[in-house]
Amino acid sequence: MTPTQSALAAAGRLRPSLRGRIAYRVRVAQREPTTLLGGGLALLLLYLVVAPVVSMITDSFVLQFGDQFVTGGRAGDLTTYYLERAFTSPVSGLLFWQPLAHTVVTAIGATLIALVLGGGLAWLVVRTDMPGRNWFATALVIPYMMPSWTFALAWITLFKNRTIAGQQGFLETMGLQPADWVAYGAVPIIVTLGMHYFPFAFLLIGNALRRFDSQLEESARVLGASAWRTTMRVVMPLMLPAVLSAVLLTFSRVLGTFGTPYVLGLPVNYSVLSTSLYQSFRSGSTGMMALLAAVILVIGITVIAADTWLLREQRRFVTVGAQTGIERRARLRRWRPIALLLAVLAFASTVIVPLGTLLISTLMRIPGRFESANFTLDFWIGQSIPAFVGFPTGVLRNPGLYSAAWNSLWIVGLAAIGCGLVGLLIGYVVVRAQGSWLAMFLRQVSFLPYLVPGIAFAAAYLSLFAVRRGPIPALYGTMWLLVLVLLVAYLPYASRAGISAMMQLGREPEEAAQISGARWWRRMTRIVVPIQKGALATGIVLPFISGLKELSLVVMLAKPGTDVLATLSVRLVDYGYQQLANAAVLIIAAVAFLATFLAQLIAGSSLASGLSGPGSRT
Amino acid sequence: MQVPRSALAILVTGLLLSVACGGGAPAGTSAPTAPTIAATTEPFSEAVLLAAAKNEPPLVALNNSGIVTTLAAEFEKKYGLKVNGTKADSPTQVQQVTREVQSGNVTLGVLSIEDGALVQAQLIPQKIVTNYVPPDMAKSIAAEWQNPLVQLWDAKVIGYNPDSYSSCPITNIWDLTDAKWKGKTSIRDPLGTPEQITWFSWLVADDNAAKLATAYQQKYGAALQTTEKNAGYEFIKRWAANKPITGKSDDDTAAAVGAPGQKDAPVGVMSLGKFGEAPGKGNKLAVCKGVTPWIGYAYPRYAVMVTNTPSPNAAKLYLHFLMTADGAGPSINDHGGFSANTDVAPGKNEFVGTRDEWQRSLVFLAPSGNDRGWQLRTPLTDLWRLNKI
Repeated sequence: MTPTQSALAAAGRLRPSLRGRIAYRVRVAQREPTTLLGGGLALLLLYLVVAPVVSMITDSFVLQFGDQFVTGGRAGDLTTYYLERAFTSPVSGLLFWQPLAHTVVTAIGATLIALVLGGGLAWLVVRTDMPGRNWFATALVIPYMMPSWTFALAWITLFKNRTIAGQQGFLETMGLQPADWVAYGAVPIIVTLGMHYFPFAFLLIGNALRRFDSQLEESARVLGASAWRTTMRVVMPLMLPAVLSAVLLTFSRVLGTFGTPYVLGLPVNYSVLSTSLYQSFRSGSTGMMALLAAVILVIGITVIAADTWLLREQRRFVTVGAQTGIERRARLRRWRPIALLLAVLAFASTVIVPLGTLLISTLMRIPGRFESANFTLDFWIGQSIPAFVGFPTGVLRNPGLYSAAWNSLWIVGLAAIGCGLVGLLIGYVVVRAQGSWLAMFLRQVSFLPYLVPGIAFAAAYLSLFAVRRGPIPALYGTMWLLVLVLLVAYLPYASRAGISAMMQLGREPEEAAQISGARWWRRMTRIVVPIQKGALATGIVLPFISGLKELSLVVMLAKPGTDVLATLSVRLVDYGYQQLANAAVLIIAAVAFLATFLAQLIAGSSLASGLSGPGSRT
Repeated sequence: MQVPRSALAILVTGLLLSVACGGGAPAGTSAPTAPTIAATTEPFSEAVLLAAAKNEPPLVALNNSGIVTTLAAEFEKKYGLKVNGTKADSPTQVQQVTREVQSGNVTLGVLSIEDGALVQAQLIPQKIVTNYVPPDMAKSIAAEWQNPLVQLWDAKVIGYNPDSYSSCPITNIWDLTDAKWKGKTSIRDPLGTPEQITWFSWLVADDNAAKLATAYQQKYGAALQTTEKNAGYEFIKRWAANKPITGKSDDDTAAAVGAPGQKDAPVGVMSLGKFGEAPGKGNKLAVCKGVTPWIGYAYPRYAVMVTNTPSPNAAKLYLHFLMTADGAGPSINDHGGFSANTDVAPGKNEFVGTRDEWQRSLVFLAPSGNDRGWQLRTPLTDLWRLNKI
């Protein structure tokens, strides 16, 4: 044998024992547990994100209990009953096709309104010399901070007509009869959703406009292009990513939104997919519920996929140039007052009118009657309101409200903190294990909840955690289910924040600590987390505020007696106690405002930047 | 960084696990075989139950009516035991109790629920709820009202607004389907109120359908021509097509009918409690008496115990309480009706009248019709859905 061969043979005999190898790996893992951590996170996400979706899809094909006698089968059999009922039966139009059409119509309509309103206002605020623009920059974000069905309740309070039972609307009491299409159905839903979601467009397009290098515009003008041509050929194409992000965000939120179509559509049987899903849930048709949730999911995925494909072209080029920082604002001259008027009108109609209407309605016994005898503080601080049997005291005196508020705070708080931490961990693994397919897997799967519109996600969780599966307990009936669903639903925001923050942190600080002997846990708590405070804060605060006013995710998971504020408000709507429901919604809005301003104070950053969301490409 | 094989292994196992767990048994096939609570042959001892109940967590009681908060207060005054009473409609109660029992996290104790058809056809056979008749009352409750246990009888009747009409403008139930009343009748949405579908299932029973056919003849002078199975189906179909004003609760109906100052208010079917609450809310409501053949329907409120409840003794004590005069009083003294316990005297306020008038003018949704009510639930719901304008 050659010396090399004999050396190799000797080395083979000296191969460490199995125990030795394991010990070595354990010591390495303690120092650099990224893979282990990543594996654990992947497993967790598989169960919390992928499994509910799978379970929901399979439930559409399995006969659920309660429907046995209809088909003659046994619960658990494979069946096409739900597919038939949804797609081909005589009631399929009412259960599925019409809701589908209505969903598409309302989503497109609301997105258009949001774009026009948001984009126009963004241009006014960012690129013109409109007076008061700094104030409007924050004020016009307020509509998003209110629960989404605030506008629906305010609309109903004003425009209700005789088609639906219940107390009269303001206009009705004054003698006017709003037309059916004004009071309920597509138009109110589109308008109110547009009013709620336009801040997305406002922020995204505003940010993009702010970063837009005006030198490009000026070059075009210098070369002789007209204003119109410049806008069309230079500005618009570069704005496209922001516009598409806004469209995407609004469209997918509207798909899964529940509160507004429940208040404005369901009473006249103007159903969208989310309310049809809710009706199936209520009547115990879990199979139909699963099928509708699966359809909503498919649409959500298609929308995101379309957006990704459309933006692929956009990513091919990047404008390289210095940010000159010259603020080039269009001079409005004689249009200034009109621009101001428009902005004021927008603010008034989306903030002052809805909140004002709700507030006034809570002070009136009989709605719309502006007589002094009709005004009362009973609904706020009344000792007892005899005719309102199920909720007999004023809102601020009712223990039910305080327990719901406490539930909201601790459930959403816990979910937000968990979300922020898990998001940061995911960011850590994705960036440190960059390029591996573990990183890619985590990145994609943590983004998946974003594709599953609100109520469908709740349906999926309901079906997964309804019974004990293996070692995982059934969580239905516990508040932990709510914590979990909120944590996972907002994970995309937190993981995006975590990933982009970790990308900006080089390996050097950690490596220095590692060389000095610090274990992984110490490195995380003493170096990474303190540096990433900002991202952690965003990852916690944003889910907290969104979770406080979230309805679609929790409406099917909360129980009477263990409500959160949002479900309490819907319960009051169901009882027909309109003034109390309005009061509850105002309280949620107030809590959300308070939380937002506190968060802005503490984090020291503008929430507006965080609201741009994971879909932002600018 | 190269992905170690260990990570791959973890991921593959995870995928397999999630598929296995995700595609696990659908909710419902594993209804628990809980031991039934001791049969009601034991003698009733209030003291024993009270002593045992003191060690249990507070009872959670759901009730279709908001009166539950009063009942909870009265019970606490009498026995010193706390009860968490919450108003919840039938679908909510069913959803919650079913999911709780299947998942094993039971918090509920007693359901006071009006959807008897579902209770009798599904919840009791699936052992999700347990029937309990207080042994000392077994003789004073009619046998046919013992399984499931009926607590009391209430009614939903047609009401009108005295501001608009000096007396009831409806004389025949077919008026509700007439063009003259298009868009001017109100009812709680049947699609969310299973009890109303049970009422429909009684209307299509042969004897009631015959009465409807006769009533039609009386109103229009000619026999009813219909392609539906009988007059009952035709009535439901025509009413759905007559643009009824639907709401989420009887409060909505009461508000639509009773809003003061209306010149041509609608008429509506609502529970007797709304007539009692009307003055407090500023509504003007009066009962329509003398509608042929019925002015509405009488329905039972059932009371059952939840299987595996954490407070079984408190539950039994509460059920006993419900069957006494104290338990029925808050409802029947407010707006009428009567307890299933014949030992309990009838209530003070009565919007319908004597027991004879009840029998004469209302359809009684007796427990004997619950099976039919369950079987016809989907077809009747679909009938309403397809014809509703």
